[in-house]
Amino acid sequence: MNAFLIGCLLVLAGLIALGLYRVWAGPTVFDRLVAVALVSVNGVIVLVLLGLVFERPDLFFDIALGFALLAFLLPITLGRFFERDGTSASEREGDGQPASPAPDAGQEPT
Amino acid sequence: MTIVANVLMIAGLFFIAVSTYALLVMPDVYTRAHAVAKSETLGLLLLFLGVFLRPEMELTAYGRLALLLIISLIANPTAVHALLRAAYRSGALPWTTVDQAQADRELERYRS
Repeated sequence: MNAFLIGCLLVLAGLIALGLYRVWAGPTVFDRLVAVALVSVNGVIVLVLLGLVFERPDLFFDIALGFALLAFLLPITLGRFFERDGTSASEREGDGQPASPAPDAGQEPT
Repeated sequence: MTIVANVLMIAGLFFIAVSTYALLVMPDVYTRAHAVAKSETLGLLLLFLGVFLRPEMELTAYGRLALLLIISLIANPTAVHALLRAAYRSGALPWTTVDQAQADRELERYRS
């Protein structure tokens, strides 16, 4: 069933290319980060299917695990970074409030 | 057994295609991320269940695939939720059907 796996890989490559359009054309940075999350998960699936195609599944699943963990950390970190207008903690005076017209729900102070 | 695996993988690919289509078409960051978090995780689950039944799998690979599945099921919706929380606290406004011109004017404040 190698042709089926290669067909799946081609479909996933097309879906990655379609997801990259949203990375280019997202009006906000959070749109781009959501599209990066989708492209990363599609990349994990591509790695798993490549493990089946090359018939070395243990190697490729290890690579997929590493990439999935990185893909988990990236949107969280960049989301918190861009929540504060793209400035880091050392540049601000340390109050740590979100950007101004935020309808704050009154949750925990940062 | 390979037939069942192929059917599950095609179903998983269908849901991932639905989530990619929703990412392109939806009008707002909240609806796009909602489609990515739910539909893609379901497609991932179905596809990995199909991969479990494939004949190329070895004994050491089953545990790694199970670990990958558990990590992805926990991590993907959590990451999208954290991203949407950051978007909400940065002032992203949801898409409404009333007065789109006013909504477009308010979109300019957080356009980056």
